[in-house]
Amino acid sequence: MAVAVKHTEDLAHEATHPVVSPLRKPLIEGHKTYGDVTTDICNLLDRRAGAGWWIAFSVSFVLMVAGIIATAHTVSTGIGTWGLNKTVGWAFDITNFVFWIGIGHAGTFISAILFLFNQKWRTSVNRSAEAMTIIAVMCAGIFPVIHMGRPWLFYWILPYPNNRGSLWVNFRSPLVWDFFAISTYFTISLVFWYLGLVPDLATARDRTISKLRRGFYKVLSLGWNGSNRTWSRYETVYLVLAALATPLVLSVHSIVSFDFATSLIPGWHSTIFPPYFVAGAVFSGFAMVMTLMILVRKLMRLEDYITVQHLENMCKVTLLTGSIVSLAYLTEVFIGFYSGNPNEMFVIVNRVLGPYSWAYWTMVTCNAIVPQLFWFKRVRTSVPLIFVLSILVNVGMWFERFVIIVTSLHRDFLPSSWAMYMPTITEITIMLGSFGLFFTLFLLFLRIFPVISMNEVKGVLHYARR
Amino acid sequence: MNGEKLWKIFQQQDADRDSVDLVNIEPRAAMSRRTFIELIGFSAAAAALAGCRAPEQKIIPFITQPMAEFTPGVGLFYASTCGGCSASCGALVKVRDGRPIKLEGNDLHPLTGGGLCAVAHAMVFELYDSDRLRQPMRGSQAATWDEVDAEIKKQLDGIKQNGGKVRVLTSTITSPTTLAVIEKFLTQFTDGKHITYDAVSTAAIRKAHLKTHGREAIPSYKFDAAKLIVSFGADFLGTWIAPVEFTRGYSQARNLRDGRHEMSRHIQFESRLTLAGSNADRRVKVSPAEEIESLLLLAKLVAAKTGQQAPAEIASFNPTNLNPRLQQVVEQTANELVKLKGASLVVSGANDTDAQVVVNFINNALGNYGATVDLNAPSAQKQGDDEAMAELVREMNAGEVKALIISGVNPAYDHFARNEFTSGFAKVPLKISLNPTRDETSANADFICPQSHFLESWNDAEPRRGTFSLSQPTIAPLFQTRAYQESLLRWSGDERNFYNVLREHWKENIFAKDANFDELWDKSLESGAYTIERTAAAQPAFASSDVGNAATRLKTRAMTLAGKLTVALYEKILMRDGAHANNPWLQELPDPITKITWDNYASVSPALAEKLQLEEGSVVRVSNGATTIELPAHIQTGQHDDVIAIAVGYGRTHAGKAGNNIGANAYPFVSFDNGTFQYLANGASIEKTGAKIEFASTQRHHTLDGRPIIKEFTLAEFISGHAGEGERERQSQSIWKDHAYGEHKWGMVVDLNACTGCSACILSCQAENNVPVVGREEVRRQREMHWIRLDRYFEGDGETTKVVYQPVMCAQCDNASCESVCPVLATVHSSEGLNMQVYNRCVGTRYCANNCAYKVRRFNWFDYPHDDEIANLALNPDVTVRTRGVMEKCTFCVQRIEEKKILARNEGRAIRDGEIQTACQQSCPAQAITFGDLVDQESRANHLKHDERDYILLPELNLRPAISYLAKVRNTEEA
Repeated sequence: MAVAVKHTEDLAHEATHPVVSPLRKPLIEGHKTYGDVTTDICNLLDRRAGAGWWIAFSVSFVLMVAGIIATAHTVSTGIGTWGLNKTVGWAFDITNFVFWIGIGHAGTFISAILFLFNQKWRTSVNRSAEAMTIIAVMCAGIFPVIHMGRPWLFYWILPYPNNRGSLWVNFRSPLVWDFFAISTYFTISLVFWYLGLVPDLATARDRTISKLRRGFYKVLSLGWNGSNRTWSRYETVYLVLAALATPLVLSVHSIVSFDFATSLIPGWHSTIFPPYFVAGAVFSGFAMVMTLMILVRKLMRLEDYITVQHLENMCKVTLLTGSIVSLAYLTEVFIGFYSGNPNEMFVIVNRVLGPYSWAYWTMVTCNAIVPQLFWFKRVRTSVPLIFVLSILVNVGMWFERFVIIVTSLHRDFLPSSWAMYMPTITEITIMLGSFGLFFTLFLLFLRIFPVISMNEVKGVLHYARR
Repeated sequence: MNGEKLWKIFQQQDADRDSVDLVNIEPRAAMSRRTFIELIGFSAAAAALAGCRAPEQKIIPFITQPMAEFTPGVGLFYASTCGGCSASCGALVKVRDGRPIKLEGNDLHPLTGGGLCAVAHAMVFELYDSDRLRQPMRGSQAATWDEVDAEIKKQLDGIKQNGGKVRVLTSTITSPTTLAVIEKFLTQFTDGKHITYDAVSTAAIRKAHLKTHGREAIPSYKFDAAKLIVSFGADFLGTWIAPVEFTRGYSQARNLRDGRHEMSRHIQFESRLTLAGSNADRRVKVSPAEEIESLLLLAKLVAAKTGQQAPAEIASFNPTNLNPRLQQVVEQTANELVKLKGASLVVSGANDTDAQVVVNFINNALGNYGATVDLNAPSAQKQGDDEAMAELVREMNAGEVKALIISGVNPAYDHFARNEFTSGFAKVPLKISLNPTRDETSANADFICPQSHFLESWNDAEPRRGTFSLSQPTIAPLFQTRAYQESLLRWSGDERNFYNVLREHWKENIFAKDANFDELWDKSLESGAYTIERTAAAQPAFASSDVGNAATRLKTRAMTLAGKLTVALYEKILMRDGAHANNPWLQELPDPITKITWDNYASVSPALAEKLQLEEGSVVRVSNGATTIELPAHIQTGQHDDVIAIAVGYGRTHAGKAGNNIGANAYPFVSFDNGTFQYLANGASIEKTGAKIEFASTQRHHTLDGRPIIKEFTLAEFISGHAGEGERERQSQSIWKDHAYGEHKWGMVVDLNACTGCSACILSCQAENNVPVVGREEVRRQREMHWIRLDRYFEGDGETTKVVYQPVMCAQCDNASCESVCPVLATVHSSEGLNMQVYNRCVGTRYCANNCAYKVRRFNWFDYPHDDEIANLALNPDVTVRTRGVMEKCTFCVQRIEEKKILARNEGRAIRDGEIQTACQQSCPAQAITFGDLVDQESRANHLKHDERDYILLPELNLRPAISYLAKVRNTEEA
């Protein structure tokens, strides 16, 4: 009977709001009304979590705890618990750092750049993508601290007034630039995300049945009253913040790439790194957004909001950035030989054919070859395939950082110091722990905050309809 | 600091005129480390302060440091003699606050100059080895000296009355006074005999000279005077007789600095790759059989070309195992030798009397006796008598020996027939060991009367006839130990202490009778050496009667060796005969050729490895007769296919916590034949076990792969000026301003042509800079901490393996890539050009190490153990001990620079060029390292920077390092 009613409502909706665009398809499916949107999203918060959520949360939490134990072991015993040596001073630590920073980029790209470009489809995914950004930056931020030999002194890389003869930091060091870039990025992302949340938090405040939640949302929604004046100011600030966040998409990963580009190690010392890293970051970030969105729409039954069309759009971005990354790979090889520098040539040959060639070819397969499948619409619209491919892309992007860091370091100028690197259980556990942390926080986000930006979705509800 | 407490101890000590009873204090249990150090410091400080403890034993610091000026915190140097091996090199002992902390070369010593080897540097660690015995032992029970002396005397008295053989078994003793003490001890008995036993013996040289020259002696070899050196397997730069002295002479004759364009030429015939062979201008890879035939052929050709009368066996010799190419090489060698008659030197490392007889024949034919080989000033550095040792084992087994006193030897470990030795040893009623530890032999002794370390004792040495040196104690004995001479004196009924005996011996026998004894004694003590000038005398006449027989036996021996797999035993330059196996510095020092630490191994040639399908580290079972040992295989380029080379000195079971069960004992492969120990075991078999281990190796890639890291020229190229060609240093293209240097800019030049790879610099640096030992597992993970490393590259194919060495340490770059990347400014440039590492500022990002092109930075992965409170006494108080998580590296010994700067300032003068010596430079036997001020236009370092061979490593990076290298030159053209 209910089905029949729903069907009748849909027919009525179709009658009042027919699809009028010959080119565009509606962004939100299921003939949602404004009320439907509010109910659908807010009810997620009050409903008990399903079995799927609990399973995912348990696994993530266990991984996170394992990671915490491994980190505690490292901090209490020494970096010697890792597989590093006199020649390879960075490996899993900085690989994970760059990987997580890269993941974050898609969120900012979606929420800021696509906002400025008026891409309406972003509304369904931007909230989760931004949350992903913040969580990913948190995961990333752990690694520069714990990779230090004396992490309890990490604050020494901050330029704060001190009584050590006013000892300043080294402003020539890319690690200091990293600190500025990442802290700025984190702050802006957090503020931007939070600001976008305020109207929806007010909605949640007004609807929730739990007193505790109401109090929580009341505080966070900052007394939002939905007046015209509030809305007008809100949108101005949101636009300004979007404009501020946009350059960060380019700058943060450019600066991260300076860690390598400004060094003298062949394989690191390369001017192509800033654009190459930014493209790679957006590439991996979109892949991660796709992985998460497929999980979210399944777990939270949001198929009407996060549609195949959204996924298809993201596949296209992935295809573009993946192709840029592939071009960068080819350019690296070309420049390696074109430079005439024997050290550069050696690095390329060593990457492609050396002892870590398996990592290089994993990277090439996952990042350059696999995304080319997105040229086919049937692939772009098949949710299971997208899920698998998006994970492969992230595997490839993790290996890209590993290849850059380890294959460049392990054989540099003097053959006498060449070495091999193999990770230890501790390092692997810390890496898995960072994934645990990421998913734990993301799953908590799904339960606490409105997953989809209700106020923005309502604005595009009639997209392509009358 | 607890001033009151210190003062009390000092007063106490002053009052009862006795040292604080250190030995009864269990440092771990009873006192804090601080108190212990205070006590040590003050007991020796008191000794130095006009001798509060023992006024009659005045020790005299080096050069001019009046006693009254003893200043805490300032190091004093005492001239002494190294007791690390029987070479008895001259050494300076650096004493800081009453603790000897480092050995340095004594440049006033006539034989070794300022050189020392790696083993010598490690000796300080041995002084503070907590595995040393702390009191005399009766069996396994601790005892007091009075008890032990009383019992031993009683038993000896019994032997005196009843008769019976008394034997004193020692390693080579170069000390004339000690020999006199032993002789005096033995005269008490009707049948007393002193037997000298060297685990790695060169007795054949002595026996051969007895046959050919009528003198049982090892001549002195003058590598500095030889223009052509032909060595048959003698590793004279590594382990043979007196490597420091020989390296010094060798490098002097090959010095191309200061516009010299002449160098000696060195041809090496050998089956395994030795350190000497790796430096040769022409290295000829031969099998053991080919080595013998080459020697015989050389003898024949040299005799023919010099017109020397040769026995028929040599004149008619026709090689059966030498291929035409080898015959041609030998012919060329003979031609070269004959051209340089009287200025050449032929040596052989074989402990085979016949081979040495033929070598003597060749040297005699070339007129080298008196020129490069001197029998009038024989060496006393290897006195082992293999026959006497064999006889002793027989006597013991026959139950004839009533008392055996051993000192400095460990035959239960290193005798080839150790079971025979131990069974005989068990039959001796009175077994006294004077060894410092409870080693394999001492463990079965009735009494262990531990001798003091040489840094705690008086001694003298006469390594070469007429060249004397003294040892002085630089610290009161740490434990209840006693100089072994003193033990023998007690048991001879002589209550004098050895110091007085020593002085009297010198007064009676060494100094001229009419000399002012005290003045001469003080002078000798101060400089560490005393030389008796001898008038030149003719060399003893050569007798060729035994040459023919020797040649015949050698021919037979070559036939038996031909085509068979042979185990070649050798000493590693770091582990030597195994006596110092408990020294972790030595265990962790990479072998210069293989770069492997903490192990011995069966070296096989690449072809043999391929045949047996061996990989690096595959465990093999090597057997010869009844002897079988299992060892990992190491694949060594440049080694002959017929040879499996195995280092002795490993597989100790009673060495101590660092040395037990490291590697396997290869001594059982030794045999006793023709009156000497043979270190070649032919007819060996080898098989793969299937197991595999990973070596703790410090270098994993062994070739240059065409990279221009080492510059090398032939002598002809060098003479015609090619060395100056090519890129030197680029113009600075930096956007940053150059560093403005004021008074000083420190720089260094390393002469790759002088460096032989002996690795002494590594340990000198380790001792000076408190570099931690990390252990086998950590070296496997490639985390060794040495601040200076010796890169070794192989060039060429298997037939003509060339080896180059390159010491690499922090180059203190002007455009230092480490400095710009450190986020916290923990590594910064000093106003004197040093790249300084600020340990307490370092947070350990390791970015600097990643960005270092020379990969010289070392990271503290863990807190390396410093819980052995006695071992900690070896630490240099001038250098911080680093904590976990910080980066460290070579500092150009900044503490030494500062020390001399302060000295110069106090004296109101400028620093003299050469006054500051880095640790690596100071004791380099080859004098390959020059350090100095580059602001000073006249400095030696600056001068060498303008040498045409000067080049810098990786110039294309524009790092502008303060270290440059002088290109290697090989004298490859036939003279």
